[in-house]
Amino acid sequence: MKITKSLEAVSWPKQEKSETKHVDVSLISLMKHAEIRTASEAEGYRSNPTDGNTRL
Amino acid sequence: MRIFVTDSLKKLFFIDVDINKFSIVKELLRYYDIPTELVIVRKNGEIVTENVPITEDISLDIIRHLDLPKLSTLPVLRQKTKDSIYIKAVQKFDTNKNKITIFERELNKKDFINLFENTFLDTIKKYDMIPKHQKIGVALSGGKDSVSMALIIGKYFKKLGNPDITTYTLEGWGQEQENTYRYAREIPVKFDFKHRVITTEEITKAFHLNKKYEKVFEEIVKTKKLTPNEKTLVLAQTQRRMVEITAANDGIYNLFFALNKEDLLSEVILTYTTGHLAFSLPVRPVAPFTYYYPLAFLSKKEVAIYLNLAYPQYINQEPSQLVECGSQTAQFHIKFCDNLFEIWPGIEYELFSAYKKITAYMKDKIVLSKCRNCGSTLVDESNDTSKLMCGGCKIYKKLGFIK
Repeated sequence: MKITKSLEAVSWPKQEKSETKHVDVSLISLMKHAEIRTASEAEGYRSNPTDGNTRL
Repeated sequence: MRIFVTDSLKKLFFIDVDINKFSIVKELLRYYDIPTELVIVRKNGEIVTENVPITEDISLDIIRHLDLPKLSTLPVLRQKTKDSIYIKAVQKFDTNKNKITIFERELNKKDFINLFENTFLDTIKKYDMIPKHQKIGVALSGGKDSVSMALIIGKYFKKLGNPDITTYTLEGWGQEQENTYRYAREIPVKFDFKHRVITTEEITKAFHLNKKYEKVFEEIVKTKKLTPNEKTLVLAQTQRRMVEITAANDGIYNLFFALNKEDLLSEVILTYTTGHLAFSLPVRPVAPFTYYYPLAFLSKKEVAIYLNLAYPQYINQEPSQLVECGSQTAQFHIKFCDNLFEIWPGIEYELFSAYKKITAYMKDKIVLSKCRNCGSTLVDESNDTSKLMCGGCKIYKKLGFIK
């Protein structure tokens, strides 16, 4: 079965690449970011211990 | 050629494929970062594998409610730099905005050296790796990792609080002329570190071997009675234990080892895939010693680039004999970690942070004992009394080198 409804189809997106003046890749800032994220994810798990990642 | 992709909400996408670029569907999926387990490949409506050639009648069905077009093309925000030689990438999660972005910073030679050294120094500071008034032992084989570690300690000696450093190197029998061994002897002199060469006689004595260690080493490298895993284990265990014994004789219990990001994270992977009890990283208390890993946030590639740029006189190491007997599983773990960094750049910060918590829970479960032959600290996970000998000494016993 060949799909022919090409008019309704949209193009698979391309990766959006943009530039910025400064990206902070220092160890301390990346550690801080990881700590915040793991704490927020852990909170989600505490609220729903049967399934840490909300099922899709 | 146009290939159609239907998502789980029946939304239709198309990909215009240059068929000169890809011969089979799997290659196309890889290029677009679409996992094969997330799509059903159809040919003329019938399910087929992803190994079929790309033809006009191929279509793809996404089988989960994932916004795969977005997830496979996460936006990149890049700081561009002229004459860049390296890109440091990290994926950041903004849960409030429900957005993931990849941040990339291009680094030129000067930026790279600064970032490398600052990462090293910040790791030491953050984890309090140089406790005041305590002596530090640095394991210095002369390989790229340990050379980088010793050079940065030497360069920033004052900034680190003038620590009392002693470097430890295993005697290079028959390798005296080799660069690796030469670097290990030169660097302590350059920075006026105390330096201790551990002799083969000391190894023979410490492990109670019935033959000279040179001979034992030669037989281990050649033997077919051991797996590559066992060979790596016994040789690495011997080196590590000798640094411990010699340092303890000098009253030193804080030891620096130059394991890099992949070396350490492959152990994290091993813990999660075996469930064995583990000590924390990158500071590891193994009584009576504390191991410190200041290269924990630096990859092997970063170490290699750093030496090339900052100290090109120390880059011609000979390949280690350990490499020749390297275990394929251990090598796979390393490669897996590097693959993982491509999928999730910056995962190491989260894995180390999580590992610290998990190993804290394990801490009370760990029962320590000592190897009855070499005295090395063991994690006693079972009631098996044979555990009272470390893995390395069990292998020496198996080969008849000890009673």
